[in-house]
Amino acid sequence: MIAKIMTNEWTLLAREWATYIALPIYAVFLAYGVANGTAWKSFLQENVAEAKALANEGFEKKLDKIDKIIAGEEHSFSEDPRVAGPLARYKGYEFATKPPLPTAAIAIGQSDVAPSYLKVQWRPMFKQQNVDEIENPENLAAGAFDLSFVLIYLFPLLIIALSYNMLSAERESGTQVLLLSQPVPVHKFVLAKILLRGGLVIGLAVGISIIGLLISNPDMLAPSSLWRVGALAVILVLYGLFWFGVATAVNAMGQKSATNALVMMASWIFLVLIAPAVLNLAAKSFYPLPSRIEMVQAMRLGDEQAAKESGFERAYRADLLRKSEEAALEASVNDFYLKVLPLEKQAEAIASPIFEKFESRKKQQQNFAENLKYLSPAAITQIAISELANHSAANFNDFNEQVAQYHEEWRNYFFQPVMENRKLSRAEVVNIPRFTYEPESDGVVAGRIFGNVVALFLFAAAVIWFGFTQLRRYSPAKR
Amino acid sequence: MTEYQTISNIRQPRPDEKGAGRTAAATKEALIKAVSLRKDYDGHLALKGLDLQIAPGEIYCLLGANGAGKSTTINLFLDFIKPTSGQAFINGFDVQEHSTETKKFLAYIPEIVMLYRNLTGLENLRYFSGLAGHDHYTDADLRSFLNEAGLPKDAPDRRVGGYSKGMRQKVGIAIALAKQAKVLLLDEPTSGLDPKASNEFSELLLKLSQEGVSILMATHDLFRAKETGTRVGIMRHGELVDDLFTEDIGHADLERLYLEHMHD
Repeated sequence: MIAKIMTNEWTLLAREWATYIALPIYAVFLAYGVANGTAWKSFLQENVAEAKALANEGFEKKLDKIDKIIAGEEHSFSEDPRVAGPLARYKGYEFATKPPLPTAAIAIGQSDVAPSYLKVQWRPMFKQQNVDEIENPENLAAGAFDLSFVLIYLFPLLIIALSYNMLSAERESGTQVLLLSQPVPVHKFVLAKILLRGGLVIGLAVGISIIGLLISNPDMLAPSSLWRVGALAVILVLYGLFWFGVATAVNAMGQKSATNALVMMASWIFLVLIAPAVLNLAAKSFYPLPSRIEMVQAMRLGDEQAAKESGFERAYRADLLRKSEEAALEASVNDFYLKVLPLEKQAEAIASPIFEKFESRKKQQQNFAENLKYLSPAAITQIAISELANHSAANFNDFNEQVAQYHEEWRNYFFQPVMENRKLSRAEVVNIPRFTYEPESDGVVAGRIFGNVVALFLFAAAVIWFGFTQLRRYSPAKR
Repeated sequence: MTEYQTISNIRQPRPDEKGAGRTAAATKEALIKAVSLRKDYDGHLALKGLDLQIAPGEIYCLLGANGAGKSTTINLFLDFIKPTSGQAFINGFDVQEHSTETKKFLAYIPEIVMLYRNLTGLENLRYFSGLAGHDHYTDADLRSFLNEAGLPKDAPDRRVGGYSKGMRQKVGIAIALAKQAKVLLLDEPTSGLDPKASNEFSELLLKLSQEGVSILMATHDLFRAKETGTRVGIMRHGELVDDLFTEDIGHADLERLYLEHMHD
């Protein structure tokens, strides 16, 4: 019986001209989303490669210079890359990069606001000059037209367009009384309609997304990416079912098509647009970040206080003046770094409470938003899809932590030689630790996504259950 | 019509002519039955405890002004609305408890038959027959139902969007015929039909009645009720105020009786 109703629904859809406009446009949007995401992934790849190349080049040049110096080339003190202080502070640098995963094309996520590479030197990461990619502010404001945009925003719209009147239209056109005078209960009609429309809309979304992604990103054909593709399919099916459930519940109320359309659009606006925005706003007002200016001031205060406490002054002492110019410079530089590095550490320690406050507030904000996402299936889906692309807030937090750890490592590597007032050996320069990004393990990411999938499932099951329960009271008779 | 005859032959007993089953009908198990059927719409009493039994072969015509409770009665038998109290039975099954089951035995023709505009008359009939469980009809079978219902020969392959109200009504009749139901529920079914088609429809009803079908028809057409019906009931303010056999009353008497009930 279900198959019969589905066949009839298919015939009806196939004879509706709007179908031939809506479905191709939707397919084009999906394909365009895939293409856009793939282009963004290449952009990230290029950026990361460029940054890495820059860092490599820096190290190579220094080694080259060291080799020449060892071979006996004439050089001044300031030209020698082996001097630990300047190398640690400004001459040497690493670009900590977060290369995109093969699945990066799924969603731009946070990757347009959070940098995928960071310059690491001695100075605290906070003071590090901004080397972010420059993104068109208009894009940032509107959000990019990537696959996740199509799936989270447009996919439910098509579902709404196809299902807001699945019962009301037949009641209004008058066919319903004839239908329901047949020995077929109303829930079978609804089920058949959902199965056909769902098969079409969800099938297209899953099919075009996955085939498009795999064709344009052949590197995704590996187990570590394919499970993410599978998860994407599951998330889309659940998210789609949620919206069909809303349509069922709304239709079961027996209101007019116009009312249904209004209610469904209102739910869309609320769940997709307003709820996530309110969520962020709530997180920001409950856990406000200390102002950046406050942080800068704290940093300066720390510097001053540390300088005062250590009695720091740059060494232009008489004993240095008696030496040759070069020797004086060397002594001065060594003296400076000998003092400035501990001093900076001290200053940072003084300023650290405000930083910690900043960091902990940021974490609280994120946790708060993370927990409240369970208020909106759209927010859950958005976060889950970003996770699949490795572009979620959590993914970037992890990257930043890895960078912070590496930054510590960088400092530790140079601290001793500076304090010992010596030059690094060639081997030591070769062995300067380099940054390698370790993406979070599949298990960790899958664990987080599992929570999202369960939540989406519960959302979908709840509305579908509610809708079908309400259908028992459904009456085709006008009153 | 071989298919139809085969099925209808199973139906027993078969009254020979209109009204002849009067005494027999009374003893037969009623196919349509209402027991203290009551419907209350938020304080407005649409139906005040209806008791009604319609035996096989009977054509029961419900008369009454708009809002008298005729459509409410039919909607209750269709389980489109739930009774406030009382029970409705089709073929012995409680309509509320066996909603889907009872719809196997009944066919319904609403006042305005609406069909899928983008399907042809034939496709509409095929779909509705399929829903009723009659997947076995060939195109020829379906065409003969449409023909029997009086649809012009060239119409079945045209989309319903271009049909007149009368043509749609005829497809509705064909759907009911094809369902081979024991019970027909008709809500002013001839409202879109011209006098000739209306007359042909009456003949169809008589034929079905002879085959043992129970028919409940809400109508405004006193003439048609007297001509076709075996019984008439007059409803007023949700109450069945009169219930009589058409053979016991003349045209003029029926009209006078009806008007009397409407006036007081």
